[in-house]
Parts: sequence; structure tokens; C-alpha cells
Amino acid sequence: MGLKQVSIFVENKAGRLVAILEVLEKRGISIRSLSVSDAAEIGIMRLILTDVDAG
Amino acid sequence: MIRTPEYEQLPRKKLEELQLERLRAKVGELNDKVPFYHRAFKEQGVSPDDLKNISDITKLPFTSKLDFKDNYPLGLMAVPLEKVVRIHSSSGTTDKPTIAPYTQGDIDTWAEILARALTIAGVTKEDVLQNAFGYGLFTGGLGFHYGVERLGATVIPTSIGNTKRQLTLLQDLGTTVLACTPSYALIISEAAQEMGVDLRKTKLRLALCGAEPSSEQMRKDIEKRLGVQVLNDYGLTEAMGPGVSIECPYQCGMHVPEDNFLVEIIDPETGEQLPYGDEGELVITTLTKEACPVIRFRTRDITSLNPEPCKCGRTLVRMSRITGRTDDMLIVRGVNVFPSQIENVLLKVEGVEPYYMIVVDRTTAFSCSDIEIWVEVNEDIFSDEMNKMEDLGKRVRSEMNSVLGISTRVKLVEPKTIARSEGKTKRVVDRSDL
Repeated sequence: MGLKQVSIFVENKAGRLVAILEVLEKRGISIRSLSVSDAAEIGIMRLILTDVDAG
Repeated sequence: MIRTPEYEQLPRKKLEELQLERLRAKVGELNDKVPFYHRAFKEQGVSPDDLKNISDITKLPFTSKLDFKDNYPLGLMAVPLEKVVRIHSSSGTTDKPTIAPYTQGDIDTWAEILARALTIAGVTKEDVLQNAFGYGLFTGGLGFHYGVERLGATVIPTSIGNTKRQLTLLQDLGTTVLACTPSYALIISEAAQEMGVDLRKTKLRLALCGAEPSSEQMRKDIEKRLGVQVLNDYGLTEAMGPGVSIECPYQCGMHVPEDNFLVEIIDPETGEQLPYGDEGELVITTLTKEACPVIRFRTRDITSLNPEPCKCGRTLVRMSRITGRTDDMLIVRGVNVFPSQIENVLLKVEGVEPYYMIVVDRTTAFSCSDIEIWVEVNEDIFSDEMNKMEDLGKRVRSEMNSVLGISTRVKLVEPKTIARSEGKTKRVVDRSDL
């Protein structure tokens, strides 16, 4: 079974994670797993969500 | 089709005779009627009788935006207010706006110049032109509007903004020509993509873009996104508004209606007139304007002129694309940098969308110690591999450094971080204003 992953480009600065969580919360989507990789100024968030298609 | 062959195909010698005759009359009129010009001619020691040859124009003094400011609002006007039927104004974002009064004669001349310009661009009576230049004080909206009506084509006065409605009308009314700023053309193409509208399936066949500097690569980008040919036009409030020059479908320079505008290129440092082909500052003298004519107005726009007859059959001189402005030039640690160079680099690095902003740390009005270029990451260039994203930043930076000859910082920012503007896009921002 394949899993769909959502990848998001973010700037590496305070408040970016919260901004994304707020978007998901509004739609009642939860996160099953989360990984973040970061460089000095940028980051990539990879999420596996409860509702893949809504995400 | 050529609307006025008697002017548009005039041999250069005949044209110069016509220009000299009109120039002499205009200088005489301004000398009598406008105290500012009377003083300026006197100071320069020149009278209308000194104009024996068209090259004698170099004896006349320059005018500039500063003169409009000093004589704000209507000190340069050559007619009594009762003759004025309309007043436009520049945006005046940095200073007092330039006020532009028009007589009925000016409105008629302007409409005719625009009707001719539209014909040069290949627009005919059968066309439906959606005019997304701003209506109101800005000359772009009403200027084009009257020109389209004069030509006998159909104008839809959508003005700028409300992009969804623009797209609905574009489809429902069968718009064939879109007129707007290049940055708004990009906004429209983005919105079309978001709304799932395939512009190739509409009747749109041509876009006329102007009122804002843009590069050749930006034109190609807009052409690709809209799926139609893009022709550039040029104008400025002090000279009249849009219609000072426009491209024909051969896209080899913008034709200037020289029976109305006498154009020169000068060295911006010394004020010396430069020969055809040389790049320098564009200087405009209006030959037919009544309410507020200008003599040797320094536009601060950098371009060059080509007098060779065009493949379209016109003998009118052609202006090359504006490559920069004498006043938006940045001097970064002693090196001249134009925003247009930065835009070219961004478009060259594959996939980078032309939404960018230049953040500067100014030391004086022109000089800055450092520049940082913010580039938006869109879906096309996003990769979820960190090394690819870092690599993109590095490629932009190394290309930037090799073209500009200075080291810059490049910052990748999230989509829609940079403010979209519906008027003139502001590319250079002071760090202290962020």
C-alpha cells in the first residue's frame, strides 16, 4: 500500500509550523507523522495526514 | 494596414521639415505665453529664430520632472483654464504628482495617436479590447479607451483589479486584445491557472503591455502563459500618456509618431546629444500638444533610437525597449545595478518565477552597501529534497554574481510573500521599510 506524503516549503523562522498547524486544524485534519529538515534559512516539512486527500 | 501613411511613411527629410516648422511655432508660442519658458529661453540666450535646422534643437534648454514640481500644479500651462477639458495626474508615489491638463484639441490628438498606435499593433475594428489599465487619474485607462473608440473597435473598460471578473468577461464577451501592465498580465495568467481557465481556448489573440519596465524574457514568459503575442507600448504623463511609442507585430522596436513627438537620446551625465543607435536618456519634445507642451523633457528612461524603415513599411523612428531608468539605478559598492538585470537572471535560471524583490541597505539615495534578492518558491521549482532547494539558491546566486559583478545574497521565500501590486510594481525596497 502506498502512502501519500505532503511536502511543504517553509522559511526557517519562528511561527511557520504553527501557521501550517492552524490550517490543518481548521479542516479537522490530524498529523500521523511529521518530519522537518532544515537549512540555515529554509526548511521542508513532510507530513503524513489522517485524511490524505483533504490534505 | 497603415492609418496615416502621410505621416507614417514620410521620408526622413520631409519629416524633419515638418518637425522644424512645428517646433519653431511651439517655441514661439511658449516664449510668449509661459513665463517659465520665457525665462529659460532667455537664460540660454536662444530665440525661436535661432531654429534654422532640426539639429538646432540642442540650443534649447532641457526640462525635467523638477520643473513640473517647481511649477506645481499648473504653472507650465500654455492656455487659460477655460480651454482645459480634462486633468490627469501621475501617481506621485515619491513626490508631488505631475499634473497633466488637456484641451479638447489634445484629447482629439491623443485619441488619434492611440488609434494609430493600435493600428500599428494590428488591432482593427473587428477587435474587442479589454482595457485593464487603471481608469481615473492615471492616463493609461482613459488614454487607451478613447483610442479604441476612435479606431472603431470595441472597448470593455474593466480597469485594473477584480481579476476573476476580468477572466469571466474575457471569456463571455470574446475579448481578442488585452491591454494592461506586464505585472497585471502575470496576475491574470496566474488567476486563470487557479480558476482552471485555459486561455488558449478563448478568443484572446494579442496583449498590449506598457506603463511599467519589463525585460524581453518577461515578455516571452507572458507570451507563454497567455498563449498570445505581447506587444510593448510606452508613454509618460508629461508627454501625454500612453501612445508615445508602440511595437508592430515584427517586435523590433517601438514606433514613435514623430509628427507629434520629437525624440532625442542624450548622455545623462553631460547632456550631449548622442547619435542614432547609442544608448542613453530619452528626451521628448511635444510638437502638437496645446495645454501643456514640453520642450526637451528628460524622461530618465534609458533607450536607443533606430531610424531605419521597418519591415511593416513605416519610416517612423523606433525606440528599443527601456533598459532602465537613470533614477532606479542602484550603485552597490560602486557597481551600477539595474533591477532589469536581476529580473533577466531570474528568468534565465530555469523555472524561477519572476516574483522577486530587491531589499537594499541604502547609504545614500543611489548607493547601497548590500543587496538581498528575495525569490518566491512556487510549485514549479519546489522540490522536497533539501539539497535540490539549496542548490537552486546557489545557482541563482552564482548566476547573479557573474552577471552583476558583485556578490549578492539570495533568499528563497514562501509563495505570496511578496506583495502583488495592481499598479506599478515596486521592486526595490529599503530594509528599514520592511
